[in-house]
Amino acid sequence: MIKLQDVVMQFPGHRALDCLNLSVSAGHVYGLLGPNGAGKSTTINLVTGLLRPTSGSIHVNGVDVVAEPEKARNLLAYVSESVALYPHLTGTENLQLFSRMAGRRLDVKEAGSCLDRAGLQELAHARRISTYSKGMRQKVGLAIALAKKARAVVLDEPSSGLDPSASHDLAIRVRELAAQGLAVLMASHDLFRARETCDTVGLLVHGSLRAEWAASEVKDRDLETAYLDIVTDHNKSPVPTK
Amino acid sequence: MILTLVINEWRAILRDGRGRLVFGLGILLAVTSTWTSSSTFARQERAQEAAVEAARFAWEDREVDSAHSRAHFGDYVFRPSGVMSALDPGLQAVTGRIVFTEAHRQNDAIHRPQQAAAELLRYNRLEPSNVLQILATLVIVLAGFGIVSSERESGRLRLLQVQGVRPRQLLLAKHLALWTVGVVLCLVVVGANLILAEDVDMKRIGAFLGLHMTLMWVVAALVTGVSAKVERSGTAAAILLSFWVGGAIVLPRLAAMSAGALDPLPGRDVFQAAMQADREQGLDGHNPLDDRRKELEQEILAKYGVETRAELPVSLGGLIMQADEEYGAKVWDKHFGELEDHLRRQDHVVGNFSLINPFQATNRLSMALAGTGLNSHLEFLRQTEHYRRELVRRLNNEDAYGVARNEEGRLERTTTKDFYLSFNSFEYIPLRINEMLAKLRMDMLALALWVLGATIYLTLTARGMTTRNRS
Amino acid sequence: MIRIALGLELRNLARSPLRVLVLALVVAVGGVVTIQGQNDVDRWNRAIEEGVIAQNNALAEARAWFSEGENRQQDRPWIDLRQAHWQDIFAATRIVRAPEPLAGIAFASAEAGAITMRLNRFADPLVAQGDKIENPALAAAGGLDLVTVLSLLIPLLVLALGVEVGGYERASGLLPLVQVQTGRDRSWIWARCFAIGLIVATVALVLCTLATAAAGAGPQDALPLYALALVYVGIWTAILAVVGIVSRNPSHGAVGLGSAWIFLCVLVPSLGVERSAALAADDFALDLTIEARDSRNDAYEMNEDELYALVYDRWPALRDKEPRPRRAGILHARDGVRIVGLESRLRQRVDQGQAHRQLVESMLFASPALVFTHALERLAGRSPASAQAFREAAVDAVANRTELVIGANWSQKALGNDDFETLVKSSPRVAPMPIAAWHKDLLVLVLWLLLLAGLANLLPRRMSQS
Repeated sequence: MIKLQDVVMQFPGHRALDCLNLSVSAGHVYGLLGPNGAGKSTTINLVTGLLRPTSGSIHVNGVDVVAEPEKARNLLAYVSESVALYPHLTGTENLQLFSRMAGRRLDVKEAGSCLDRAGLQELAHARRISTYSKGMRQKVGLAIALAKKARAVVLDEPSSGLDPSASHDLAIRVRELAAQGLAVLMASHDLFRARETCDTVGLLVHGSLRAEWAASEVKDRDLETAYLDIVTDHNKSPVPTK
Repeated sequence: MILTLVINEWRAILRDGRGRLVFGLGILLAVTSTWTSSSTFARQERAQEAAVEAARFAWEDREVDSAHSRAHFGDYVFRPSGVMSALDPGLQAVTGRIVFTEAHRQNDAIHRPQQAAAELLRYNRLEPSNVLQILATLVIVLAGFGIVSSERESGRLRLLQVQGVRPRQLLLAKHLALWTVGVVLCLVVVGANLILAEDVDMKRIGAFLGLHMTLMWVVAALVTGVSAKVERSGTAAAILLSFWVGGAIVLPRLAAMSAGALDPLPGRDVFQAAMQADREQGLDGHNPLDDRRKELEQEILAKYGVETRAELPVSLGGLIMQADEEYGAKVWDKHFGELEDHLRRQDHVVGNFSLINPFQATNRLSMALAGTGLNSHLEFLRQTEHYRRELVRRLNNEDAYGVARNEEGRLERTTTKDFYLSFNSFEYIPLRINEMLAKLRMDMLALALWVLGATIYLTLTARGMTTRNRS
Repeated sequence: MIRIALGLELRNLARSPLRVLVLALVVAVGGVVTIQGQNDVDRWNRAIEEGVIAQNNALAEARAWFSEGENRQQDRPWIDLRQAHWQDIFAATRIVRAPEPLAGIAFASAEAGAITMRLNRFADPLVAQGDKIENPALAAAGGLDLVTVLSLLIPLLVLALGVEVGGYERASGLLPLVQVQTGRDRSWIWARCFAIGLIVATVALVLCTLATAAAGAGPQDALPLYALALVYVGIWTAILAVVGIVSRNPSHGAVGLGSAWIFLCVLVPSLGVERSAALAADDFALDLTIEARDSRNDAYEMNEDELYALVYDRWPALRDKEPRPRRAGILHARDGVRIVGLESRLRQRVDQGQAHRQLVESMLFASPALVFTHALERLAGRSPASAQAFREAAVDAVANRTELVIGANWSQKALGNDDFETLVKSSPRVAPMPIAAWHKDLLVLVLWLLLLAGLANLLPRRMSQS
């Protein structure tokens, strides 16, 4: 479970997050939407312990990220927008390397199995990462998350730059992660893919959570209309529909 | 179009924090080095004058002694720094600068000024030539490694091309911008020297400036070309820094080591023993039992038509000493000639490395222009030896002919103080530019090839960019 | 973590021809200079042997004359070995400066002092030249020996292998993944730097082992070399970590590492050379030339009382041997006065050298490259301090034997074989060399290492938030 309570992030001359409250329970996928500069990446960096909040608390499975960042990170997996791995290593070697960083030693068979589960074709396992497409690298990123056996996964714009097929494929894998009981927090620009993948969708504007919808209860068109309304009118009051 | 692009590049360099830092550092180093080397040069000039004066005073202050004693008293010769040595002191830190000139012996140049700080001599000095050849080129590398690759990474390259800028124009403008950075540094260094120097040889200054601008052209072209050729700025930085380290630091040392290893010089003992062995084949002016001396004595007696030494109107000793001296000079010419050939052979090996290293070609030509290279050092030794021979010849002549028989028939010296005062101090006449450059044709050729090669490389890179865009 | 990073770096190395080439080049250059260094030591030893042979020939010639009861040379009848003057000439033994076991590692040192010298009362150790005739065009290039390879190229190897450490992770967005996987902010960058340090340290140790094996050096010489090399590699590893932690991308890394190398290996040393040159620039060695000649001539212008007073002041024991009449010993008394002048010039030089040394040593703290070079040159016995020690030993030996020669001359008796042998035995064969004081340099290097490691440890807390 991922839980943010009254989180404020103040940079010099700029408040990135303003009293953010957000919760992702185990087995759920939470999609964090918002325009550029809304504070999505800051939220992800706070959850992964890469930033310290000015105030408020962040917990991953009950572990305080601020007080015990290392322990919290052990419970987390992370997939970034552009999974740039070590180009001289193969997909298998990269997976083995990052798993060992997390304290898990995978043999080639186990690594292959993880990559299969992430949807990477077997032929590609032994090729160097420098020959991979972005979608393939994202799959290795997912395999790293799978192999870590984490309790929560954080994804930062994972479908950015992917073609519809790869994006769809990724959505399936993300759902599989949730099905295994992981709490998934995903920042995204893609309203439609987010609605399709997530259980809950939150809209972040200027550091404040303006709206939250249960994905099953909102149609694409309504979501888009609401998004545009809120984003173009910052002063509009939140629409609590959940 | 090109001018607009050049101005834009300059703006980018001066507005980017890293560019400002690098360029500012370059200017600071240039000014500092000029200031320190000028003050060093001024001190050396004063020290040189004091040394010459001391030697002259010692010579003139001495009681009127025999010419033979005076030949052994000898004279000290000090190597002047030369006007251009403020710009490039060259080999002066490692060459002896004082030669003791005396009868019968050709002494080595002694006293390296910085022997007490030998550890530091492994490193380059912050002198104007080094600032230009080593640090200014580094400024170009650091300011320019991303000059094209960063445009590609950020996508601006495509935008520029869509706006109608042709790759050749773009690369030429970037190259000119980088080159002018180097030119500004050259002008700052040389200009500051012109302000501080008292006696300026404009021809040499011009040649020095032109030489370093040429090196800047080569480096700027290579930096622009590599930056355009590789995909990432990091790769360009790694390649160009490797090139700089190789050319400015490693290859010159490797060249020197190779020349020393391929054609080693004889040890000092071996050299002196060989010279001594040849010397012993000739006349020994100090040995009355020497056969060749006896033969010469007979020749002189016959020439003057007398039977015994007591009847001679001249001093036999002086004539024999001069004959001894002339033989010694022949031996020296032979051995020093061989040694000089050997030094030149080694220098030739080093010169071949200029073909693969524009930094070295520039360095050698710069030293030649400043009159501080190997040729100038050898010329100093040659002129010193000439001075020594003339000094000793005049003293021996005085020893032989500066006599008169008194009433008792004994030889008496007629040498006066004026005779000793008539000697001029040693004056080193520097080689002319063409004389110095004549021995460095390989380096000039190498630098010309580098200019040509770098320009062609830049052109081909531009053509490659065009082809890549079309495909 | 280090094992994981080492695995990554070894794979990176094996799969990058450029890196393999750089590594191979450093090893090859290191190997070549090691062989060259050993050749230089062999040449040094040969020069000593040749000197000893020449000395033994002269001694044998003189001893033969004594054994044949004939003290004169046939073709030069004025040579008379019963006289102190000629005994001094023929008993001119050589004092040598034996190479230290690791002399080969610094064979390109600019210190070109004499390594062997004939000792008699006319010797002037202050202007004696080295055994090598040097081509100044080669000497000015700065020299390439193991000291250069270790001090300049080994840092470049760290740079070549580690240019993208930290910068790549940050630029490619890999850093958050790495931090989430490892749980810690800086351990991965440290581990990568350490792994690169281990690879480079292995190269450095291989080169040091080659050098010590070629020289047949014992552990007392090898261990300091290893220790110094390891700490020096450690320093550059720490610099790599500092740059890796702050660099935003590999370009910044390249500029950062390149600048660090240039600053510490080029700029600071060249500023040192500049300051040192400012001290030496005024020096046209008038003390060794014109003043020395004047002091020699002064001896001819002094009256007897002055001469003898100076000699007795220097060698009080000679007072009991004063010749009668005093006039008979005046030539050798002048020799004594000349030696007094020589010793005074030596003291002057030592004082001047001291000032120069203090300057050099004050510069050492400014750059680990300078400290490292200084320590290795000392370890190799090629430092100016060694050359100075040799000159001092030679002047001392000349002064001692001059006392014997003066005493023998003043005894006004025909000298024999025993006197000759006493003179031969009077001078040391080998000059005592100063003990290589590398401990202080090692301490300075360790301080540098700790400072940089501390800096690298302090930086990430702030930098990781960027």
